[in-house]
Amino acid sequence: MSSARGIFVLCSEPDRTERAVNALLSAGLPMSDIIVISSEPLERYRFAELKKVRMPWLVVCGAVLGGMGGFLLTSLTQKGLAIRTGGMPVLTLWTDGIVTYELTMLGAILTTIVVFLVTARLVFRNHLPYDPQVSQGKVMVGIASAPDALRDKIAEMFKAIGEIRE
Amino acid sequence: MAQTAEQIQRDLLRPVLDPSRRAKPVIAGLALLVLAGFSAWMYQMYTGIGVAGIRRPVFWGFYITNFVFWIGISHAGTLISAILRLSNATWRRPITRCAEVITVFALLIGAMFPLIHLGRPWLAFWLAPYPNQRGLWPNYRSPLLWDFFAINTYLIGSLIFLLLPLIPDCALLRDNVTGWRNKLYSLLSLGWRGTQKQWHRLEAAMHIMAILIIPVAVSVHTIVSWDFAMTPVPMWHSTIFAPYFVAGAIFSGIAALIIAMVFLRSSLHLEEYLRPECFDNLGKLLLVMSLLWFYFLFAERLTTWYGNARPEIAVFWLTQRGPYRHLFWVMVGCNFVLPFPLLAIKKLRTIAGTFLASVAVVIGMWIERYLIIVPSLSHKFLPYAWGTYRPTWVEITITAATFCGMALLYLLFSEVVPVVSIWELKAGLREPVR
Repeated sequence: MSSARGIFVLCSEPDRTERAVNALLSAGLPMSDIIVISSEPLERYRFAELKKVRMPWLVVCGAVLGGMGGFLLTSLTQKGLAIRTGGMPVLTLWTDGIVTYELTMLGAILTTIVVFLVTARLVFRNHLPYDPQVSQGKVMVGIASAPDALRDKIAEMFKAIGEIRE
Repeated sequence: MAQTAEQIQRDLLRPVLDPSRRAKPVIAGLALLVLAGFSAWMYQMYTGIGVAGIRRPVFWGFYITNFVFWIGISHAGTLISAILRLSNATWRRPITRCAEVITVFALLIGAMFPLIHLGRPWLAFWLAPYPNQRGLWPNYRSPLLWDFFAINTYLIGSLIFLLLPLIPDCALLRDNVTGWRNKLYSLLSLGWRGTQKQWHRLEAAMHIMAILIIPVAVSVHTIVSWDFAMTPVPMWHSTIFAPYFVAGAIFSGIAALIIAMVFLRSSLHLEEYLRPECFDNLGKLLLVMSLLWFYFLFAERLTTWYGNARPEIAVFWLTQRGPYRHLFWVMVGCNFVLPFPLLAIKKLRTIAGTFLASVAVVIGMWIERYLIIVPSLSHKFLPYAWGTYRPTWVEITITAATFCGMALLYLLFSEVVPVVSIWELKAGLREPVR
């Protein structure tokens, strides 16, 4: 275990997980402090309900940036060439639109992956506790830093639910 | 159907943790054939592009046929997977990763062909937009440059679409292996823990990617079709080409997916996961695409015949009654006549039936790409520009090697990561079947 002050319980099934979460809530801990780690998404349970993410809006911003980049790339390139067009327009908007479109989508795609990596706290050094038994189907519930006053109470409640990890 | 999460995990990790010894000779054989293809390419680079059969007036032969074909095959995966994810079809779960892998590998193989076709691939960077001392800028009016942007966007998007749902499975592998493999999977899992926040973000990112990748996939094959349609060559300069190419790409892509699934099912013993229902549903999709392909073919041919413009009708009859007639009718047989009964009759829409139809479709679609390219180029407007094309052993070897390369990459992939998404199947256990 990487956390010295945290207290966790390994639950053998998701229903016990719900009990563990409820125990922490009844001890007065806020939902935002409670960590539930599992090898599959547990969307059905109330504790898995999270606030809506702003990811789509950030992706839209990335798309706009990508599109602007695409348009600037094509237009500045064509103007930079100083080609004689005999009075015809230097910028060919129909064809520039294709490159602009592709770079708009690329901007959105790259923003999605960056936002995901940042908000899911991947790549960066992760200080969250972990137990390989999670991969065998167990669910880990607890808090990363338990207040000393509540520690014994939480441990007592966890004992009835599963294996304790401190 | 596997009943428990433990069973799913055990069955799907087995090919990675305990790979079959039978695979090694197959891998060695495929690697040798790929090496033969590379040798042929090296020979072409050393001797010059003249060793290929492409010469005036047919400058696009096997290489561009393969380029269009493989880009088409790449439509299987990401597009089908994205559509099934967005429609929340539960039967998608075992097949999405099989499909997404096809996209990435087919794109990599397809993108190699313009380089092979260049003859001097070390100058390929001239296609990239950057200022240079000669004052030359890439021509944004050229469809070939649109290809550069479209294919790269699609490749990056497809790679992300494949890798995102792989992260939790890599974390699973990390906890089940030791030594260098543990280090490898730790790196690939990016420090994944499996907190509810991480799951939530992953699903949101997958949802957004599924939405983004569909228009990108459509645009890629649209732009590949514009390589032809923007050119005043008989039977190319047509508005129908974009949707015709997209439909054809999805058609051949689904067929490739079914073939891959059949091999995976038997070689990795995934009978309980890649179940007959998956083949039945994909068979129905293939049937729809077969009908759509035939509709486009008929619409294209009828319009040309009715217009009766001399250069167009010359190519028209060249493919239907002339020297290309055998290929044309084999194409119609493979893409419509054979698959239609196999896929329309429920009793025949078995795993064997869909496999047979898919093999026919892949052959038929390769011929279709060839027939789009070669007859039109060999029979342009004026008789002095007419000519013939015969592929050489170099082109044939390289073409055969790419098919082996696809099989090799797929096989190697299935030995490194689970080819069926474990966490998605486990999540599916708790969800009512739709």
